[in-house]
Amino acid sequence: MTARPPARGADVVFVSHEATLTGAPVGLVQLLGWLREHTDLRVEVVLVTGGPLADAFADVATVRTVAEVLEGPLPRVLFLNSSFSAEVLLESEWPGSHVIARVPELEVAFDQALAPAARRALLERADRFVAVAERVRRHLVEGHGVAPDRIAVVHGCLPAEPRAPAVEAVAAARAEAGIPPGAPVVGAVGSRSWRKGADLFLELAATVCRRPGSKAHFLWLGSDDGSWQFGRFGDDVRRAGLSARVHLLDDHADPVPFQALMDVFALTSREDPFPRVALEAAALSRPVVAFDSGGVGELLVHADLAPVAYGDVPAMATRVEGWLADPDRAAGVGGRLAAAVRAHHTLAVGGPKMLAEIRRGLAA
Amino acid sequence: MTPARVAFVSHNASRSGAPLLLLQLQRWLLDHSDHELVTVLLDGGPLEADFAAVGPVVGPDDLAGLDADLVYLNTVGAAPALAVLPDGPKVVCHVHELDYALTHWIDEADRDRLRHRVDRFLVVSQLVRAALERCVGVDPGRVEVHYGFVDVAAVAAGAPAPAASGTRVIGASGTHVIGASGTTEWRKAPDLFLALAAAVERRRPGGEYPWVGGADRGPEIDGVLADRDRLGLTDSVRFVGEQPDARAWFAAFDVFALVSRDDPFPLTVLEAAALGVPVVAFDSTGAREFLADGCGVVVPYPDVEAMADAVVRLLDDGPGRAALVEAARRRVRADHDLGVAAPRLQAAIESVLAS
Repeated sequence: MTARPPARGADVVFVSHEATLTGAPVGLVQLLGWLREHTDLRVEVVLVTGGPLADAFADVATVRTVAEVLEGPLPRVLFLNSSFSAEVLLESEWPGSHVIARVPELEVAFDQALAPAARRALLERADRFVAVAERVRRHLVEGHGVAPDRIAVVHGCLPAEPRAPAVEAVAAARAEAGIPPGAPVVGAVGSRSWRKGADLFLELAATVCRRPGSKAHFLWLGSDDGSWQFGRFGDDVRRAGLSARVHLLDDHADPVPFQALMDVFALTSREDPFPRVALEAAALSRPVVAFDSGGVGELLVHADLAPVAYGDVPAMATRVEGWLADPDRAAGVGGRLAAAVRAHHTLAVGGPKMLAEIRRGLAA
Repeated sequence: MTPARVAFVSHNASRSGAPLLLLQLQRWLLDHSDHELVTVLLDGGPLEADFAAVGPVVGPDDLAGLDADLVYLNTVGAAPALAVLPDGPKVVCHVHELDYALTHWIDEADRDRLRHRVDRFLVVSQLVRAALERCVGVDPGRVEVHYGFVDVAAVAAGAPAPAASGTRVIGASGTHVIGASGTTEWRKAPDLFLALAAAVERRRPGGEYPWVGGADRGPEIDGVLADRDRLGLTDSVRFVGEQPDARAWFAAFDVFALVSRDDPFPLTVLEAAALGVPVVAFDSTGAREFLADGCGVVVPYPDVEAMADAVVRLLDDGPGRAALVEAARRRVRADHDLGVAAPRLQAAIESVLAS
């Protein structure tokens, strides 16, 4: 849905590089909903490319094209929701707009996947950076020389405490995944890709399943990234002899029942700044294990957990097995993580922090 | 043997296993038969001159008018040639591929032609035989296993002292060298090589891990290189790219690690065996058929930890290592030397010609 340019510029134009069911766009839709409820800001959205969330964006803000925005008075604040949104900086210098760059990327995504011209424009033009984790802030400072006082850290957050799905919905999800009733489940959610470490998830499954007495099943919820290796990932599962124990499902409109059936949430990402899926699992009181190559340790610390050294699959397997063997301990960890989400990572906490950054830009 | 005109169709002339094996077979036939040999290259590559030295080389446009008694498709990648081949010649297909290639490199029309037009399939391992039956529906009665081979004497003669790369010599520090070789594509699993290096380092720090062949930079390997750095293996794991003589590198390896997810019957394993280098591999590859019976170590795919344990055992167990190396050397000489395997392939060709 697009609209005619307004007579005066919006207070804030948010730019999302896509409207997929992935962390950054989902989080932006929720932030926009919170802003609409709590402020009188005139807000518009530019979607660089579309996706299944396009209608959800249209429900919470006026959606315009970048050309339409550039025709009229420019916004007082241009909010880039991810580094990949920086391509709009190549179309205009956005004179008079205060540019806030939210950065949910780490080394490979920021330094390799992001086009050099867009990266340069972002680093030069952004007035303020919002890093989604301390780990991201360090990368901007140490890897790119961004002055620390140009960066705020606002961790990712969820709109509210999730409601536990109905028992029937969880049972249906289990059946859809083909996991036998009662079998323990180790799960992951995300794009089946190199960065998300789907191959490492298979290594984890193989390691756990080899250990005596293991009954665990492994569920990956998320479509492949279009590459041939992950498009044919089922072949690799078969080659590992794990077709009966590793279950692959594509993206699902409602992932919560699948997340709720996971006894352990395993984040095998090679790099993941502060993944929303880990927050969602934590909010459902799932114990979370992750490698130390991303920012999720900043969540785990609230449950007195440290992430596992990157690549140490046996160590991750040992932690998974420990939780599966001791459900009370797992529940304790999950409970502490859920409390951490309630205390630090809901929009009730994160919304005002982000609003403060926006107001700072409006006042600039 | 009545002299015949044999046309060999190769999908390309790359410096990879199947074209290299074909060249060895052609040279053998030149020396040991009166057959007239023609090569049809469906695509080019660095071995074009080597093929031209064997006999006439023609291109795909010449297929329809091909005058041959027997057409030898060197891989299923050459199967599209069947669409334009005249009806007369007998057809042999040498299959070096597993499931992915059999289902994705060729289409159903190609598979149908393979089922109906090929007189005999020669496959490089039992693993390939099973894949051919599963993915193409070929009757096992039309399939013969002809394992890959190398010129053992030439391999051994071509292995000088440990190789140098720039100013650095692998193994010079006196520590262990665990090497691998191949392209750097997904199915050869450079990612698992990193996992193996990390697992070995946890047990025995200070090793060197060269990967010979494939890309040393670029999109295919950038993610792996980033992962290497993330694992703290920047100085110990090196992707050295294509080397003029990979065997010189192999000779400096303490252990050859075949970390492939999918590999029908890699010749690099035979070369390592000929050079006295012990081999570890996953059971998802055809290498398991060569490494069986104490000729190497095979671990379940993708059990990197078990592979690391095997590597360390080979580093530590002098007598066990020596026995394994000797068994592999005996097997490669007995079953996988050019002088043994090429006559068997020649016999298969003669048998089809006579049928």
